[in-house]
Amino acid sequence: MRELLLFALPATVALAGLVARRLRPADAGRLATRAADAVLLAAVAAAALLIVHGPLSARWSPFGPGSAFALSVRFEVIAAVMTLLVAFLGRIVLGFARSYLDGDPEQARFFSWMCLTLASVLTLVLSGNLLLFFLAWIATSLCLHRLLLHYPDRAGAVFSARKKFVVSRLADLCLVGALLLTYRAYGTWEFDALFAASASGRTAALPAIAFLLAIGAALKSAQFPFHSWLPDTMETPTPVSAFMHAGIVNAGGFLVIRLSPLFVHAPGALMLLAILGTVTAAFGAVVMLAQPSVKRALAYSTIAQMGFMLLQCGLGAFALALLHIVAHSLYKAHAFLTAGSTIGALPRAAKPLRTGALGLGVLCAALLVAAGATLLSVFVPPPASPYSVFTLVLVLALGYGLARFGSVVSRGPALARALLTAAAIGFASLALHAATYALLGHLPAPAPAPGLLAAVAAIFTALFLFQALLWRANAHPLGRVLYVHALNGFYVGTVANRILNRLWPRTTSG
Amino acid sequence: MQSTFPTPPLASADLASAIDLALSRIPPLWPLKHFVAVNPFVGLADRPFAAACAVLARTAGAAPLLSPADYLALHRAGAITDADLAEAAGHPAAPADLHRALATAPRVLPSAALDTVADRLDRQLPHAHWAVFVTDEISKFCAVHFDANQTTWRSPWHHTGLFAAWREAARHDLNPEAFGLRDFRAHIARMPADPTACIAASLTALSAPPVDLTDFLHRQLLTISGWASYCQYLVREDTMRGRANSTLRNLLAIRLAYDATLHRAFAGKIPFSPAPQLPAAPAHRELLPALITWQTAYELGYQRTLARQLTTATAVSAPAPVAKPRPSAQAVFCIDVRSEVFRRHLEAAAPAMATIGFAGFFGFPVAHRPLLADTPATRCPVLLVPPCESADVVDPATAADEREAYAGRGAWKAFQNSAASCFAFVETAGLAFGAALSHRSRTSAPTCQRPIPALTGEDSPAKLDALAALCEGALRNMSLTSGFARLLLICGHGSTSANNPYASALDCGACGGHAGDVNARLAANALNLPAVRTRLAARGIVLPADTWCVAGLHHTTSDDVTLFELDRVPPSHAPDVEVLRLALARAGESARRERAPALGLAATPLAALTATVRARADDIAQVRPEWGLANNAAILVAPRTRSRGLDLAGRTFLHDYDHTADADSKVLDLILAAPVVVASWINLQYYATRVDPVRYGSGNKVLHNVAGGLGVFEGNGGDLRAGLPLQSVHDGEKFMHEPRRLSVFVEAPREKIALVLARQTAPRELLDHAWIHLFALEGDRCFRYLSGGGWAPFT
Repeated sequence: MRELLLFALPATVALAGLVARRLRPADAGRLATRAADAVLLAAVAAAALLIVHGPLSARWSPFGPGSAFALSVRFEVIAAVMTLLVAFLGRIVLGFARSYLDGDPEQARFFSWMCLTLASVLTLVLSGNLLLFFLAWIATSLCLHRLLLHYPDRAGAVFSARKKFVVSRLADLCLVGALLLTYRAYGTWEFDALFAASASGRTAALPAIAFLLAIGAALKSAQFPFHSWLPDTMETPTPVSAFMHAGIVNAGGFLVIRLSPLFVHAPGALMLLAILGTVTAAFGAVVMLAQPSVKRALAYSTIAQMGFMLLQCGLGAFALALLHIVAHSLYKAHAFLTAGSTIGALPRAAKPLRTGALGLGVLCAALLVAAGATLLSVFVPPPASPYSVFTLVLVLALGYGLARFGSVVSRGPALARALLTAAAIGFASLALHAATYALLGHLPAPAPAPGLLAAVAAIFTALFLFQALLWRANAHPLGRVLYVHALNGFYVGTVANRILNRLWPRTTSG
Repeated sequence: MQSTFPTPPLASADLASAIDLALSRIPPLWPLKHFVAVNPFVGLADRPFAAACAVLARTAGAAPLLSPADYLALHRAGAITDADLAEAAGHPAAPADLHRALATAPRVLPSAALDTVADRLDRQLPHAHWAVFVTDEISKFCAVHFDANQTTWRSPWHHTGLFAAWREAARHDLNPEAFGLRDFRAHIARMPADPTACIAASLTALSAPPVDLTDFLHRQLLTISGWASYCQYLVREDTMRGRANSTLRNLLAIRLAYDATLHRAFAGKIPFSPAPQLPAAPAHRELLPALITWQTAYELGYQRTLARQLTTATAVSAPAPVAKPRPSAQAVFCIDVRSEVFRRHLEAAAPAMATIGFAGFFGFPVAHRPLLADTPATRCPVLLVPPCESADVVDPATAADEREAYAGRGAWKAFQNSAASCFAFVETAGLAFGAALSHRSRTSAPTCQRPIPALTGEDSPAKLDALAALCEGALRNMSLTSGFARLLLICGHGSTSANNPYASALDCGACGGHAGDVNARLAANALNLPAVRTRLAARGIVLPADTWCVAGLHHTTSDDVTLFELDRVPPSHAPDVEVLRLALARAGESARRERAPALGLAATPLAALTATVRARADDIAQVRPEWGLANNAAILVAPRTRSRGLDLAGRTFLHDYDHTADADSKVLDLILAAPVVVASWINLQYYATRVDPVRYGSGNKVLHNVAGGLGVFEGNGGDLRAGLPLQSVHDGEKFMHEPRRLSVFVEAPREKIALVLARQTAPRELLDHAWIHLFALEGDRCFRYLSGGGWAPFT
């Protein structure tokens, strides 16, 4: 009976989506937000049930309970976290869109597809087997495609939707391959059964399956060099961007986290994710700095953050990856919805960082983080090895922040405030990591190769030095060349556009 | 049709003049932090409206007029009558012809623009998208070059000239080659380093001769018209201050260099036969006169209604101001059309009060430096270079605190967005944004708490002289030199909206795209200074000892009014201020009620209306916080007695003017040269956004993508967008602005107006070229100004 709640979650918004398109614009918006209200409420109720009764799951197949062709849902901690996140974001974005798109003649269609997209994503995060996951994965992509074409007369919208379409279908192919291989090797698509089988040592087919899944995840999560569809999707209303960057683009990462019990037996696939993720994180972060438009800069930021999240997966820190998904989603949804505030919030030209401040900043950060870790270790044991890389990332970040403050703020109280803030952020970060680890501790974490860890650490240190010395980069001939390349996203998008122009000629001329 | 192209080397004098002419056609575009309405046709205002339409048909692709279908629809709706058509055409048989001309025309006219090389390649080559590509490339580069601190990694060449910077970047830029433009870097490197020489070289390289060189260059600029306009803004700012600026010429050189490079790369591959340069030109040429007549007829209907309103018995029979009893208070508002609504309700709420209309900088043309800004910003009509500077006055300790807090916020932002710290920041602080997401209200900084503005410089007799001179100018130009009330409210206006890149477009144009509080406070505080009053008396303006001035700010979004420096009000005037506050509150209430239906709040209960309107102003999802100056159509230059009690529906600018007190016509000189020109800029900005939202508007707000900290792209990229957003003129179902050229109604004898027009070129040019219409009000009679001089009775 309780399991019905799980089916009701996506079904409610899906139904609203199907009805909304036949309503008058204002009514479509009202229905959509009411449905989202209900879903958010149901998600909270389901989470409460989870706490009281433990995980829920349900399975239904038209071919009898033994058939692999089944729809099954599964609601435990990961699903609960994601369901709450997606339901919350869906409600926020739909409510926002009701005002924002007021007067748009195609509102009914917009709310219809938004609801259907939300239903698809909810299905995705609730799915308990690979088949339903795959169906939801495709449905999400197809519904999103309609939203990207909300203004079908805009040539740019058509072009970017096609670009996304092609990349998504490539990702689908990877998943189809994984589905077939899984069926052949295990005869089932149920997550639980797969986890049990792989845990019992039947892992011969796993490297190939995990490899396909990893590539599919990378394609979906806009990883280098298949990222260029993401910055091109600003031809759709801002709320779609907000939901896409917060609720959809992380589907790839979610896939890996969800199937982490499989991935831990496929170190090659994890290594691939770690490398792809690191490259993408560094690439996205550098390109982001040079982008002149707010939404494009946000898109490259998403690319970088997704890279970082997949890196966390690749290093086996699946719990942290989930934390990263949640935190990034909330941050990015907010960033998109308030992107119109850019003009009012323009900062003054940044002052150059003092080199002394940089060293001092990192030193202070290291001390603060060490103190925080010591304090925390009184309550919980310190986490395992890959976390040291993320602690390094934290120390460098706080060091950079302190150096920035130190370069513009010179008076005692303000500096003290900055140090206190850094200490608070450092401690909060460690505590969050520990809490997430405690919440999702059952996720196994294999030890990554020391060489890989060292390489990742080196790249993030390089990124830190690059940012710290950015103000001097323009004075150097190489820095100027790098600037032009970064401004153009290292030409990946242009090449992709050219290929797509040939593959799928634009029919509209304007 | 084919004209001869000057053989290389190009006759340099011809080229130089063609370049100058083409550059002069581009209107300026103000950055969004202080956006002001611009007449998009200001560069073509030296020719008749019809001629400008013809030029724009060739260079922009369409004349700035409604479509044939639109005019026919207006006729069906009764907004254009056959009588108006006959009058506009000048002969009674015209309507039949005019109907026929439109009935046979296509619903929407196809683009008639001259071809650039990129355009032609797109037509002749499969898979080619050069026109869009070139615009994207230049736009991207301009955005980083002119970036106002939006981007973390600034262009290494932003300190150099645009062309030199672009040329440097182009040496390393693989993008055009990645898109298929062979040898781009090598070609650009071979181009001359001087922009003008590069323009000449590019033109020489283009073997296909353009029809008309000026038009061709204009067309090139219009393919990147948003940035061209921004460059023109930079040129204008420098030129007004006596400095040379060639940024726009640089942009032209860049655009032509792309065309020349494209030509060189593809000339061998496709037949570069002279393509039909004006594919749809005949249709445009024949239709243009008819469309313009339809437009004129459309304007006649409104003019007639307004003229009747203004010449009715109530409007003209009011007694002369001197005979009236002393008003309980006088309130000076900006000429802005939004003030008309509020003033009407204020006068109804307080019949003993008088209101006055005057340009909302109140005669204080300052460059004001807010506490946290590095540079002062112009707070006066953009026709002026501010001669005075003002700043926020704060004690040094507070100032230091505020500056450091501001710097700290900047560092916090840098921490959020840097490549070194964004990952850890997002992971840790990201959760906090969940709370921020769950409420949509972002209250903007409360204006009233800003520090007091004051003119900079040591207090000295010279400064007091300067203040007195400013006050005198303001009072004389608003025809307020006697009959002062006990309380004089000087009320600027400003808008409130959240998450709105176009927020400043809703602020006061007379304050250079800022709220008017600073100027109002400067004026009111100066007028209260005894030393200033002594000097004013010496100049013949005696403010009674019991007259006190209060500054205010009319929040146009919510129709609330904030009053300033209330702690300085003498006890004797406290009751007067209290009465004023009550009246303002009542006026706000009924003004909100009047504006509610247009905001879609017709069904909102009155009790909830105030809260709803204020909440909308703070809502980050609100794309239509208010209607701004939509539907403006006329400016009335007359004593308020002419219009008091009339419902002018928020469509008229109101400037007080008493011709009997203006013997030498100096005041009328100023009014026709400045407020009327500014009103026509605003009017034509709205006009253009309405008739052609794609070419002259900034597009759909839900796709806006702030770029370079100074403007917006619509969607992924493309050109910088100029003009107003679609949501500023359209409510989703219908346009909220009726595109009519400004009608100027002046209460003054015709001879006096003619005399002023003979002296003032700018308004005369606008009139003779039919960019605005002029009417003289004499008692209960109204006369229309005829192009080139002369008057005709208008009823």
